Amino acid sequence: MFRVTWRGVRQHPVRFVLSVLAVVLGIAFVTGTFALRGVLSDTFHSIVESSMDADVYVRGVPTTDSPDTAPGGDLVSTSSNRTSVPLDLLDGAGTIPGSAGVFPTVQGSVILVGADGTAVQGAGGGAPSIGFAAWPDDPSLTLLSGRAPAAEGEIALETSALERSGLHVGDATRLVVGGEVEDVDVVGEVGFPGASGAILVAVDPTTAVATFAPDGTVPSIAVYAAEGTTPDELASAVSARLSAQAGSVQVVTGDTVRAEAKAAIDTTLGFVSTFLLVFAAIALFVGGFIIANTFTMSVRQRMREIAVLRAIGASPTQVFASVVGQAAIVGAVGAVVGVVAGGGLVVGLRAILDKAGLTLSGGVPITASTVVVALVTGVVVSVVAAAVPARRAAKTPPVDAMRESVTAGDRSLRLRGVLGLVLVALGVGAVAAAIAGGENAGSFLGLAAVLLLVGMLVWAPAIATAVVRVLAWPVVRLGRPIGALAQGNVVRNPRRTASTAGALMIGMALVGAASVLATSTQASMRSVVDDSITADYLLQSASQDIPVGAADAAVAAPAVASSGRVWWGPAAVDAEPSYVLAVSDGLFGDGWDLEAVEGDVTSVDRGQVLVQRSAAKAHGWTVGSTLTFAVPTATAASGDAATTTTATVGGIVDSPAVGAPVVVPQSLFEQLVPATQRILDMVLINAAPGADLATLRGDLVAAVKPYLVVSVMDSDEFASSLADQVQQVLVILYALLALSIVIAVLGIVNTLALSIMERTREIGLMRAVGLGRLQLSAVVIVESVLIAVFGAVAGLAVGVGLASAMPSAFADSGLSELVVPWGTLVAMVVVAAVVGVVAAAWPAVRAARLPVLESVTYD
Amino acid sequence: MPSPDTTAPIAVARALRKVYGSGDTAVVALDHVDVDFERGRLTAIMGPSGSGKSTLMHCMAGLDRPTSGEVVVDGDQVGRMSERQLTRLRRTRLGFVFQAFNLIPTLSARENITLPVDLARGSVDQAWFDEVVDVVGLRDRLDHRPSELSGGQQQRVACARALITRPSVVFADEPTGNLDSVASAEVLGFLRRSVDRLGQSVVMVTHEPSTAAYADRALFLADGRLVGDLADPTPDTVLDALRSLAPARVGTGSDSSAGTSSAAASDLLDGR
Repeated sequence: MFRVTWRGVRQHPVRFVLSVLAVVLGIAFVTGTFALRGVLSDTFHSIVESSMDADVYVRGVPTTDSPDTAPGGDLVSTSSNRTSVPLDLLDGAGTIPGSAGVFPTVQGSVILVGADGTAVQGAGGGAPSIGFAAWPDDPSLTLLSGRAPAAEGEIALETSALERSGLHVGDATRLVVGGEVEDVDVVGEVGFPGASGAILVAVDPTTAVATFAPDGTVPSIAVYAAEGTTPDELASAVSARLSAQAGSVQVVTGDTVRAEAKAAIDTTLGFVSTFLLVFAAIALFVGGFIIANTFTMSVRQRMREIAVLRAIGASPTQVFASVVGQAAIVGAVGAVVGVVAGGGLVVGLRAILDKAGLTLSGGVPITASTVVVALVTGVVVSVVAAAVPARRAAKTPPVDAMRESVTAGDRSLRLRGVLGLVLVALGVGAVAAAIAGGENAGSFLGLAAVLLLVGMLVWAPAIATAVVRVLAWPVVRLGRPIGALAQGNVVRNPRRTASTAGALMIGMALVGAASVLATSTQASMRSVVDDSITADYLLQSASQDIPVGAADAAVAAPAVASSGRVWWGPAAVDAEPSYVLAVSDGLFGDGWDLEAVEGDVTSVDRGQVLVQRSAAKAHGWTVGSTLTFAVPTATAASGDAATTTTATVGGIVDSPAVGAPVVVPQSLFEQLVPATQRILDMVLINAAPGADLATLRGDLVAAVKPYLVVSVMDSDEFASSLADQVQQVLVILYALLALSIVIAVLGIVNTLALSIMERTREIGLMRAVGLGRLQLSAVVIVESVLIAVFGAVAGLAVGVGLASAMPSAFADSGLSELVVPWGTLVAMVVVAAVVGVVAAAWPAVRAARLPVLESVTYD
Repeated sequence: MPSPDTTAPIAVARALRKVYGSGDTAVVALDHVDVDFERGRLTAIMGPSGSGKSTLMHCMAGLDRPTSGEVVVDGDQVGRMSERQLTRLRRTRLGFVFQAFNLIPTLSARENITLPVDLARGSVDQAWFDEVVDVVGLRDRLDHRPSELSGGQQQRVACARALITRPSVVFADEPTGNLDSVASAEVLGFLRRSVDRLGQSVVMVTHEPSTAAYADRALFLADGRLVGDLADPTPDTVLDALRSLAPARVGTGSDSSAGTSSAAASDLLDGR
């Protein structure tokens, strides 16, 4: 029996090639995800090892309940969740026994002006530019040429920063630091392990301290051990030294800190790889359709052979095992090739990133467990997909071997029709329930998604005939007899048509939903901006943080009547890590007409805070509630634990333009967020009445020009920039979904090719009766287009239907408008038709090449 | 163009040779066959398995290309035509009826019958269509699918389709092979009527003596050669002719049995 199984695959490789390819694509994605995660983990771990290489760290005590997993701050102290430490804590009488040097962490963001006068960008445009204090004798800093910066106005650049900037040791340039543009000289080149794409600028210690630790506190202090002292011994010595402040500082070994940092990185990577694996799962699910189709058709073709096997004594179980065995072979071969392909993907990705300047660690970590997972997944997916046709083969009665022509009976579609209709109806009901709103809107929508997708897949064969007839009507009328022949072929086996189209349906549903969400989000944002931002111009920075000097220069321009500033930064709210937005006094009502859902927005001017509606719901906050905030910069010299302060909620707002859960006044903000973590996000500028806006704009642009990264926008441009950000997310989503679309296309090619093999005699007959080769190709192409368009239309209907419910269901999250991008949807249907043509190319050529005589006498 | 001379043969083969394979594995399916098919007559081609009868028909119909020799159908050099020309020929000037699987399952009987005309993007001559349908006796089944028709009805639809373009020749390959005697009689009767009443030329391959009896002339092939030509065949004369072509019994029986078969064969060729 095994011989029959194996030979069956070996002698008809073409039949299984596309199935293998589908498995390869899905498994390559899975393997690639795991390998990528491994590479990123290795890369970041080595960065941690080399950049956080001290033996002991002194840092603040936690201000939140989960100090080691929060965003923001540097990885040593995750400083949004800890108090700060006085800079000079370890200065003073005598050195600590066993210490080789004490170096406070003094760093913050800067902007370096390169040789061409523009801002130097980190790798891929996203890596940060960091300035740090060049302490003498700092072991983590190696001087490669020139000297270390010692006086004000001197900087040294890390090697890759030097390259990217086009500067050389001895050049003069400018540095935007501490919010001001300074003239500086490049006096040296330093090596810093683990730079990996970021721009690192060593600044003289005095300037660094003044800029990055203006209140005399830092997130942490690094201590290095001398020869012969272990980190633990050093830690004890430091603790002993700091016994007076035991309640407000923590002394930990470097190993502890590095382990925490790696754990935090791994958690984030875990989310990323889970996200990617979801798409891999979609790809594999779609691939399963192809395998199911292939085996259904293969079993049909082999009916007589299977009947013979049964007639000579093979048991149903043996036949079942034979078919499933072929599927397992397909899955295994596909998985092995897929693992190699996945590795290749990561190698390619690494090469691309390398060109962009972001070096990832060497080696492609394809572990044994990855290979095992890939193999098991590939085999399981294939076997499950082939199970139903295998069962049908196993039930073949032996007497079929004697029959002239054996066709698998077409079972009634009524059951599927009824079941599918019920599921779809339930799904629509769930959508309606979600629209009605209420607490469970999200769950209803999730339930609706599952019901509608599954329901549509079940229902598809029952409605395929009717829908295809409608779609084919123009071709049937205009292109006799080709249209009628094509429509007849598609409609004759609704199950197969539905199964082939099903793959494309899933991809199109996701794409349709994503595009409706995107356009609705963009419209919502735009309407919010239009409604509430009344300022004539806004300033934003490409580096997120607007240098203070730029803001000051801009608001000093003539014809500026008033202005306001918006900051944000990390803070601990009610002992939880969070973000806050801060506004300058009087901003609400003068440039930003934010409306309160409850309470009063101007309460911010009186020292109260505002909260977003979704956060209020989640935490049970109302107008009048008291919120507790941690004050990290409270000096530890007193030995007290973290200081806190409170504020009252003065209003509840609901606006996506407010990018944080809590809005605080400027004075409170300065207490909550250390200086180096404050980000000046926006400056709003109101023109004087009757001023010439064009002139004002010109003045503003000139004022911010020296700071390089600041741009001047009016509210339309601002809305557009927000819309662009949404667009970027959409592109990534489309790229990930493209894989499943590709597999769906393979599915169409597969079905067509196999059905042409099945219909050899019929094709021969038609050619004998006078069907030309071109006409035959046209029939095949029209069939393919009909299947593809059917899948697209059904999928888009589900996707758009689901996404349309979201604004009503998620009204709280700021999705206020529903915009259905009809143009894009129509374009997608056209794309599906083109896909159909492309998918049919090879099968059509193959059909046309069938020799007439052999086909008509084919057995 | 149809030849104006109504006594000339409708199809002719000269020195027709078809060889499959090459070298040691070469199989000679047709060995220098010369034959004329009469216009307006039903000609049967008969012979044992492997005699080349189907191959002869395939070459005459342009479904297969001869290795050497000439095939002319109604003035056209079929043996030398390109694929595209052959396709046009099949659409407009030839008709086919196969033993089984004649109809497109997704089309109705009416659509199957008009298929060649539709493929040629022509329009159906309604009067002719009605006549053919009535002769074939399928008026009330026109909108049924093939799966809703009996075997005999399906073959009659196939015959109607073969006639719809008023072809020069209808080629039928064992048209009643799968049918019971009643259905066979219907189909053969229809072919006979099309020859008698409509002047159609039909070439039919068969191995059944009772089927060949419907023909005006029966040709016999053996081992790729024409070995017999019988006018106005009856079941008995055909049976006798076939018997003399049967392979001699090996071993038992008199030596004269071997001689008898070749003598009988040459008798057939000489005496008509």
